[in-house]
Amino acid sequence: MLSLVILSVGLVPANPNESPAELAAWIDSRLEAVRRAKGHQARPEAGDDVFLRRAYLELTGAIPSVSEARDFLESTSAGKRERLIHSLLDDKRFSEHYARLWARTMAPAGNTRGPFEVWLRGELRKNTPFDQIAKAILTAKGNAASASPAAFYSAVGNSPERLAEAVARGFMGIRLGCAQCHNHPFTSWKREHFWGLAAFFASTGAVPGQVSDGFATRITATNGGREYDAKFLEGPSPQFSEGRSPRAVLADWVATPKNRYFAANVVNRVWQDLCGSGLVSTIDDLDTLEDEERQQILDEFAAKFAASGFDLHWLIEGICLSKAYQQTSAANIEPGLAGRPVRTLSPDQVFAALDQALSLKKGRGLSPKFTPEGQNLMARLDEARGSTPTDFKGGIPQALLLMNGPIVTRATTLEDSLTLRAVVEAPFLKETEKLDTLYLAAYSRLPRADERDRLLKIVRVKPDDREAQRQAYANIFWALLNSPEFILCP
Amino acid sequence: MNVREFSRRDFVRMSLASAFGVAACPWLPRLAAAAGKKPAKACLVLWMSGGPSQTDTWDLKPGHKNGGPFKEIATPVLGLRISEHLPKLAAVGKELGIIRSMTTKEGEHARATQLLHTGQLPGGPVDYPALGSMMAKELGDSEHDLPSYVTISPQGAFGNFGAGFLGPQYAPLSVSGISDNPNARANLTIDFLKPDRSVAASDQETRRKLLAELQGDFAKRHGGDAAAAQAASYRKAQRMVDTEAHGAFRLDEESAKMRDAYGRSRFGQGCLLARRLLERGVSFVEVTLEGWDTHQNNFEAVKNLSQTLDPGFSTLLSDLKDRGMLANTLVVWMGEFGRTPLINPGAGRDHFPNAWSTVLAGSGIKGGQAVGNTGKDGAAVVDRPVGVADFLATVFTAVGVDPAKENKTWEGRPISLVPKGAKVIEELVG
Repeated sequence: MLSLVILSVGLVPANPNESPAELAAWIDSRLEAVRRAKGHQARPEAGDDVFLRRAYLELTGAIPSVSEARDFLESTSAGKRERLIHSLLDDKRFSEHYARLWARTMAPAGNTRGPFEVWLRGELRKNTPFDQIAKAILTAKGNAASASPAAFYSAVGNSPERLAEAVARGFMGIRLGCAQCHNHPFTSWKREHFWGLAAFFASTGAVPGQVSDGFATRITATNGGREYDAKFLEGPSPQFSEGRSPRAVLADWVATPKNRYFAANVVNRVWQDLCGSGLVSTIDDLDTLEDEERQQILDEFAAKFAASGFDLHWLIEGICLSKAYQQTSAANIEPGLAGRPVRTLSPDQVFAALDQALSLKKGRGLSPKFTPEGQNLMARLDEARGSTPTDFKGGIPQALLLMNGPIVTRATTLEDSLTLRAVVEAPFLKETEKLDTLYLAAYSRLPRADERDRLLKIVRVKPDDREAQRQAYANIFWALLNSPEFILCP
Repeated sequence: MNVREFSRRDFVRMSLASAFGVAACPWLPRLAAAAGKKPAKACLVLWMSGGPSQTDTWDLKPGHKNGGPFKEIATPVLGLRISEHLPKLAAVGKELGIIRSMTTKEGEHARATQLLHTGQLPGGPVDYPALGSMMAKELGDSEHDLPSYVTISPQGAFGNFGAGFLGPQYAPLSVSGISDNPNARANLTIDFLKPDRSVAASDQETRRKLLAELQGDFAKRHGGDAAAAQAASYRKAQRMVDTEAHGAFRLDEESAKMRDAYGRSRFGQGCLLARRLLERGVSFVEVTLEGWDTHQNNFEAVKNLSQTLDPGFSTLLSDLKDRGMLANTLVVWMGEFGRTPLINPGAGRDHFPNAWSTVLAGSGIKGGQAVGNTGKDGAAVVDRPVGVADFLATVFTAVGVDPAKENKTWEGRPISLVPKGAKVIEELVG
């Protein structure tokens, strides 16, 4: 009965001037209603330390430095969470992190994403409206290896089939790939949908290394040899006009408020990136949602995002300000609206966290990823990339590398570790302050009282042996870096 | 009961047996056979990094100016002749299925290495898994303490191909050798199996205890599958550290005679280690022998390499056979391409993917034959061309895996083990 009442609220016309705070309030009122209808308990707000680590990891892909963490935790200012979100959205690490995320979303399996990512980074830094980003990609021309939207085509593989699959999935949250060879088993997608979308890209790969335009709107399926005309996934047939490229016609259909998948796909993926699971169902199957699930929240949310002018900063800030984002996590949750899971750091986040906690040596191109050890570490971490933010995929090689590998070994050796030496050698720090600093470096928080007592026992096990005391800090730091709290975010 | 289950439960007893000098356990596979189950198949790749010269190993051209100074010697198989510098391999010629008609289209080391390991050239949109990862998934036991794919002495940028879209449970565990000096004791060990020497045992103990407490705290506070999975992978890694990978690396349990027979080189001892890993249930091992990129002084270099290869490869075959393991273990000898039949002015040979050789043995391969022909001068395949896909399809078929079997990328795209249209070399496996 209650759920019927909620559904009868109906669609509110989206207000183009809504503030992020208003968006947050709307999210909370909608989710609150769903929660009550389902009879779930409300979860309390997460503490400053958890909020801080989340915000850094999810907006910049890294953990805060000791001083950044200390400043935030010590501040008593009322608006500090909101201010932190603002400053992180302005941080250049935000555009780097989000470019990495979206390059991976749009070209998931590509191992040549580099130039595309570089271009995306610049657009995100300017907060270019998302529909414009999509249109630039869909209509790109020129050198596919340059840092430009054309690089999308080489990252995906410049063939009509690969492009159709990638555009459907990355821009609309629809898995169309199966329909390349046969009508989709669970949905209404048919081969004519797959090849109809592919037909818009019939001419892009005509010149090797380039993305070119042509006026072909027909394609011959590579399997079966049947010919298909360019066709939108839904709605009326495309209207082509002389002198206008078919891809421009497609872009106008894809990246508009009228396409019910486009804005919903962005909203749902950003929600997953920030909150650990999609707002609704699985992230790549927006087309399989039941009507009720869609109506509950996603379509309204998508309409708001479109009304904002597809403003990504606005969307992220609104979500981060919501109680839904700031609540404590639960161990294992059903995907969907129920709550926030404990999430696994991505390989990039683990690397960045190690870099931050350990002050790794810089390589060529300034990132520690370009030292041989950094590359080896990143390659191993990358193998353990999960398919959702809650998967943990690391195996024995990854564990051994973190336990005994050169990077962590050096970072926990007194002679070699910048972080550790700064802590252990500092004459003005008391024992507890040294432990606080190690915790801030590894976990972005202070130790709890019981943790502090446990650690003090380790430090004081040989009260007269100064060397043993120094070594105790190294042992503690090693355990912190290898513990689940370092690579999982509550 | 298969070999794998047995070795997992009884490795302690096995180590005990070795302590009493029964290092060889020929009864192991026999026991499995007696239990009436099909023993697990395994695959071992001898990777010849750099591109070995076919003309100076398996496909000599005596009497032709391309042939160079090496002579042919006979094998027990009538008409099958190989290089004079591989006498021990010639003696086990009945086991060898030589393919003399490999023909591929990539002559750059890194790209060709990927091609032979994955069946695909780099640069495409899919992160293809290596042969070892595909084999690990098909043949391995995911519950086993040891990873299913171990690579010994992988060579930097050319060597270490990972699991691609199959995921980390099929990623290789690397074993590197510290010494390249053939006279030094080959010191093979798993990367990062041991903590750094500077960490005292008591400190290690402190670390492990504290880590266990932190894991417990986190699980209690936050729980969840990810925390449990993290703890499990650390437990497995720790168990491997504690058991030193079930003692696989204690090569000194082997008799001096056995170790000498394999050759006291990193490669030879790597082959011995490979056999010990297979005995303990590892499904895929790759052993690298590098140095085949002989643009200069080809003949001196190939002679030296042959003297390392010959005892390692031949003893591996005879040892596996003695233990009853050869029937279920496919041994693959390959590099990324061959070398020009034409000898360059520096007495070297250059990259040549057009017509070159690989070798298969064991696991039902019909040995004692050479497939294909590269004519009088070796310049081109004149009979029975074999492409990468055909070759890999034969490899999978030999271990009982359907090469058309599909895995799904994480976006749900089906990818067959070997690209469609590959033709199995029937003469070898039919």
